[in-house]
Amino acid sequence: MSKLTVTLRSGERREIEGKVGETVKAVILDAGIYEVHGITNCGGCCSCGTCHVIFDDTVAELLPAPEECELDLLDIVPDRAAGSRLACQVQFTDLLDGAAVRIGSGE
Amino acid sequence: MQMAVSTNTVSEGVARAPVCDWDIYTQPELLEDIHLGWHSLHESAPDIFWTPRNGGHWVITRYEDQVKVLTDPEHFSSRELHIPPMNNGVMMIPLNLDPPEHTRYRAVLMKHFGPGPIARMEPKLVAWANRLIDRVIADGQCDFTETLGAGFPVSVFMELAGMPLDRFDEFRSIVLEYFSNITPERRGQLQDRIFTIWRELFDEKRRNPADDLATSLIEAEVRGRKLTQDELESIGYLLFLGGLDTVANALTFSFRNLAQRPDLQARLVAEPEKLPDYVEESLRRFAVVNQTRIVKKDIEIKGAQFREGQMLICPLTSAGLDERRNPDPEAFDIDRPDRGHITFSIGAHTCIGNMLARLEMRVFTREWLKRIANFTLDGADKPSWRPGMVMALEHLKLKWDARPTDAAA
Repeated sequence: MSKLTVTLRSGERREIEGKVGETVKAVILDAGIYEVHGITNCGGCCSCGTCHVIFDDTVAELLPAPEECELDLLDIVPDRAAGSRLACQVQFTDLLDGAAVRIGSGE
Repeated sequence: MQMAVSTNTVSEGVARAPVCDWDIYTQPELLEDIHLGWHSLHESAPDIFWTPRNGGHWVITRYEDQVKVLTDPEHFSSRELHIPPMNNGVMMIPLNLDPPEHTRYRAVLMKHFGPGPIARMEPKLVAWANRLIDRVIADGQCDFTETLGAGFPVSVFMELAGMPLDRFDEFRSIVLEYFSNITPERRGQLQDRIFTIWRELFDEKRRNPADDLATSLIEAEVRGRKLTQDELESIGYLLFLGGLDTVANALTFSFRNLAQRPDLQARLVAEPEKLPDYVEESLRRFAVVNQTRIVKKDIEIKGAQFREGQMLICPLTSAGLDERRNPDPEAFDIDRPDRGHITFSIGAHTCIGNMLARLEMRVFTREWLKRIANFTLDGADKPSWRPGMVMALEHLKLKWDARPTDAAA
């Protein structure tokens, strides 16, 4: 198990544990945080953008670069930042142990 | 009732599949009640079976199996979406494309159908709803399907897209025929007409750009380049079919139910904050689309051997009515905990208009109930269901007590 600090839309910070090998979206959902799972979600297929999360810049640099389809959707996220990713497209690995991530605005 | 199930070899490539005789266009159970008709298969047929009708295709009846199929573009492609198949290579972008090619086009459309832009449309939706209610309220009755069920979302959509509103009836008649039980040849002719309409519309918008979706698509860039004329028309074709019928049917189905539930009408008036739950329960209980796919790569699910090139259908209403996912599935319960439905499909092709559709249903129901309380079905006509790939109710006669003040809204 590795740890992840998640900042919710309300500003509340929660430290959660997740299984390495799952997607970051699954890890966040498993911790009972449903903000990454909009009612309009596509089911984790890189097609809706509702699981937008923002990693700290230093963490984001460590992650494998997004595929083109993820970039297409990040292009339309209004609060895109340097560390923006779709949680369904990022694997939770040891690299992310102790990392911090903020849930996107969902707008 | 147990349906006759055989395990014969029914067509080349179908090896020992459970076979049931089920016609998505003419099945008597569907003509009796389009949603419960599909639900009846949960009792009478295997979870997955093959039917020889309409060119032959698989039917997937369970929520979990539909999710599996619809989120697996590696084995199940959207390249061909018609049953019976059209086989003419005419594309609907992005619906006919598989990821990752699909996503770039979807992102272009998401700019218009995402949560922000849709929320900003609410005042416009309120105005349209009331304008259309004004037309019928003093009469004390209406045939809901066309005047309001279609009138509302289709007007909203045509305005959003930049289509000429004076062609409403013509465009609606094309879509209605398109989804009825016609031959692939006739459907091909209607396809040509839709492409011609968009060609003319894009030409017009190039001459006179406006603040609408058609103009925006002309100017849009996809990975650093403009959309080609073929891509534009292809996207337009999809928008035409998606925008001019589906919400109309969802709204009409929901109003047929609401007309028979005075208790629910009263509750929604008293607790308008329950409208989102009401809309979700309507979507679950009365789904519209039967999602199709073509097998791209052989695979076996629950013993059914899917072979490359075969068609399949996921009746999304069967997912919402699957008692393994939603206990007591026939009950309409807006307080249902852990409701599960995939009425807008799931996976890469989740309906891009779902946020608009949801908002339209909430706004229209709210505005209607503010002005017309206690409405009922008018007469006991047998419901005129239209089965097929996109399901509809062709007429819905409603009545209410018109008050003298109603005309002056």
